[in-house]
Amino acid sequence: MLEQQLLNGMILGSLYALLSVGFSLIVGILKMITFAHGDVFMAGAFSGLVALLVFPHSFLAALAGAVAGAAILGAITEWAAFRPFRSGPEMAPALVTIGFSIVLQALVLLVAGADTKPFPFELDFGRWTVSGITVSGLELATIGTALAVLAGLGLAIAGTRWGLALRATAAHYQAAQIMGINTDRVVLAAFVLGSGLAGLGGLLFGAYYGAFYPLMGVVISMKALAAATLGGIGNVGGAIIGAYLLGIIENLVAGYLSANYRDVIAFAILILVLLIRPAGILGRGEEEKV
Amino acid sequence: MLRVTDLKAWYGSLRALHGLDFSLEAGEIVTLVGSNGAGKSTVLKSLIGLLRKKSGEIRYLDRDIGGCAPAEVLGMGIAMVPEGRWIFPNLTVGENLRLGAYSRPGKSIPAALEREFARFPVLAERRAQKGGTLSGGEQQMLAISRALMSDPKLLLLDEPSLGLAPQMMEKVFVLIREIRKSGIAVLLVEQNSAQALAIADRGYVLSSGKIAIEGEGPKLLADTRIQRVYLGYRDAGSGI
Repeated sequence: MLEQQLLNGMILGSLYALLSVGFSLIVGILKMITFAHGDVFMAGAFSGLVALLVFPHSFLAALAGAVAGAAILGAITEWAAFRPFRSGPEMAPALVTIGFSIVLQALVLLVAGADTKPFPFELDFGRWTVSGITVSGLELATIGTALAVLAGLGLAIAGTRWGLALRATAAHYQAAQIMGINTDRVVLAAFVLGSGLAGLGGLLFGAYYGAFYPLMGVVISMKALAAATLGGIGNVGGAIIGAYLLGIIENLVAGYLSANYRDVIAFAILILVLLIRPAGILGRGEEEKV
Repeated sequence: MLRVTDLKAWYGSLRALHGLDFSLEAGEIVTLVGSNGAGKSTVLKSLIGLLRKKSGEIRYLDRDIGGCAPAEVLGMGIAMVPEGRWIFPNLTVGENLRLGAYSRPGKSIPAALEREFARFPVLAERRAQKGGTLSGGEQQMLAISRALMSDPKLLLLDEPSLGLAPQMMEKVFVLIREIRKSGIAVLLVEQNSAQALAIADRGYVLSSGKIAIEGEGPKLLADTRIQRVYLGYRDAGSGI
């Protein structure tokens, strides 16, 4: 029972993490928030389905289509909502992203319809039962893909020249500029990367729950933002930890206390943590990091 | 090497510089002095490209760099040590220095690091420490060293002595002279005008976004009238 709930928590946490990392990258660098992230997640998932029209029965094509579609939408978000207001009012980009979010939902509604769509073919990657826990290949693939991608991102941020530029830009935007870093390009990269991960999460979410619909990104993106805040907003490692914590807590609450109150209790715990550590688990108040 | 003509700059709709002319030759130390709010830092921000809202001409090595972004200006050999140092507090000393050489090919970085560690042994000792854990003086050394990592031909220094203990301040001015000796021209902005004029070849006194007076550093320093009117010393001539 406990192991099964932990496994379910890991799956949900993986989906949260793929979204929360994007929030953290964007907030870490720009100190501004995007409200279109959940809809980039949704539209990315649908672009994965579109890719299947060209390459039927290829799960990899769906994944690639979702990542590519979401990455392009991320670039558009940056270009339309954030670049014009770089030194302007901080609220302006947030408002533009709310508009962008509505446009994305409406577009998908128009093209694909309001009904919930399943993944078009059965994803049978096997199913095993080990000492009472049942795990499917899709579940393992979800967790494995998320962990591998997030680990790769972590290594790139910690160990590459690009990662150093990203951390410098997040720490001090203008100082990064006089180091010769093209900060516009760093911001764009953060959006493309964060959104691509969201698209990956969107497709895995749709495939796992067998449900693609225009509002699929709304609730989960709020939870991912909460998870990023829990971990310490602006901190990629924190966003990942927060995501898995939230996923696991939710499933433990659902399994042992009440499935109806899982969100209430999970968020009560989150608020409690933030009361004790306002900057989040890995956040350090004044210090800003990616 | 650097010739600035009729430089005007704005912060939003507020004009901070009202038409400045000054120049700097290769190998010189030139200082801009003046009271708080005279526009000294604005000049440096305009030169490096952080401030884009400006007019007039900035000629550097016979190119107009007025429209260039910081990365381009840096590529042409101008580096800046900003007021307040702007070091990256949560990155290590080594990472801070490597960022200083961000615009250079990776192969040339180890040699530059060696050179800087020889110049500042304390930074070599602390290379794995976070920049934010250094003392104020060490952070200033790091900021200067980081700027030198790009092998500049011209170094812009904004208030390098600000907030330092007198002994550390002395060290910074000695260091500036050493930097010039290694062939790098220095444009120095300082509130500590006595020290700045003492080491400068030439100086410009800024007042309300304009050049009020220019001349050789030591001569300006000796002129008690200038000190009283523009630099605001009560006890003119004795410095701060």
